[in-house]
Amino acid sequence: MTRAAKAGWAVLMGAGAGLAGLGFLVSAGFSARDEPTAVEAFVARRLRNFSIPSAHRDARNPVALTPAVLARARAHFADHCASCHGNDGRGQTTLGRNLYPKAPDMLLSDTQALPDGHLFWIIKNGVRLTGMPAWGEDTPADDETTWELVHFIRHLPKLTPEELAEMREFNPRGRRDWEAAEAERRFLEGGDIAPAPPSSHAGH
Amino acid sequence: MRKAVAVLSWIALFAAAGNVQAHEGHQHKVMGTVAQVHVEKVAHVEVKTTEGKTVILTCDDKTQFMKGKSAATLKDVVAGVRVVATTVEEGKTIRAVEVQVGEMDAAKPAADPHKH
Repeated sequence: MTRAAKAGWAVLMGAGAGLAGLGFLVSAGFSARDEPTAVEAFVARRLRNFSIPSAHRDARNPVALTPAVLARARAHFADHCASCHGNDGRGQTTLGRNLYPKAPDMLLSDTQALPDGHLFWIIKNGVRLTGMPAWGEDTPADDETTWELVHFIRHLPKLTPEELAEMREFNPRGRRDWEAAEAERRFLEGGDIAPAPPSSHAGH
Repeated sequence: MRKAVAVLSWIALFAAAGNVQAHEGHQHKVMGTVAQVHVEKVAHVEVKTTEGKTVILTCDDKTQFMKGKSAATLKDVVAGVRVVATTVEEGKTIRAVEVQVGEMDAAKPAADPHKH
């Protein structure tokens, strides 16, 4: 077989695969519920790493870790981040589980092994083509808050049930959520057996 | 031509790999009284809900148990106790993400707390 013929076959096979893929797309469609494939995850992680300037990647956290810093970061995380990531950082929320890609389990090494500067950059600048927005403005005050959150992410594997309970008070809630939470509290304490109907979705 | 082949191949790769391990949707709350607890590799907690339905919750090592603002464990989940669970549906399984453990239901005294 000549070189030109081989090239022709390669083109034909590629086109066939592409058409098969297009056919599948048309019939099945895409859903954000799907788990990203290993190829997508690999490519996306590499692209995310490329998005962080090398000078920032290995930056050390300049904020000293104190109980007050952790308390502020817990409250901030519960208010701003837990809707997707969950108070415990495992991403097991309605939003987190149905994003594409999913909110990660931040207790795992995929997150915990990232350098401080890497985490800081992701929080401040977000990650393109994912659900992670850019949170921080380019101000010293915002940077400090972001570094505090980096401390909190490091603390996630050691989060205590008491801290989790405290964080729940800072989760954003609407009136219906407050009523449902109150009904649940009454029920757990032995009150009315038929309390007001809770929110059908667990919310944040 | 090479570019076209590359693009088509990528489309094929991504499309063929879709619909893998689809996740189920929303979190829900289950409020009720524990009827039975079966502990095997994972725990199955049978809850009689306030609406009169029976729901079986799967508790795994990621399930968090709380009693008020303190930590609790699966051992606190016994027949007759009131619970409010945050759950997710995974296929035919209802997995408990968090279980809030409350007081013993006055209408149902504790008995046979853990069936093994």
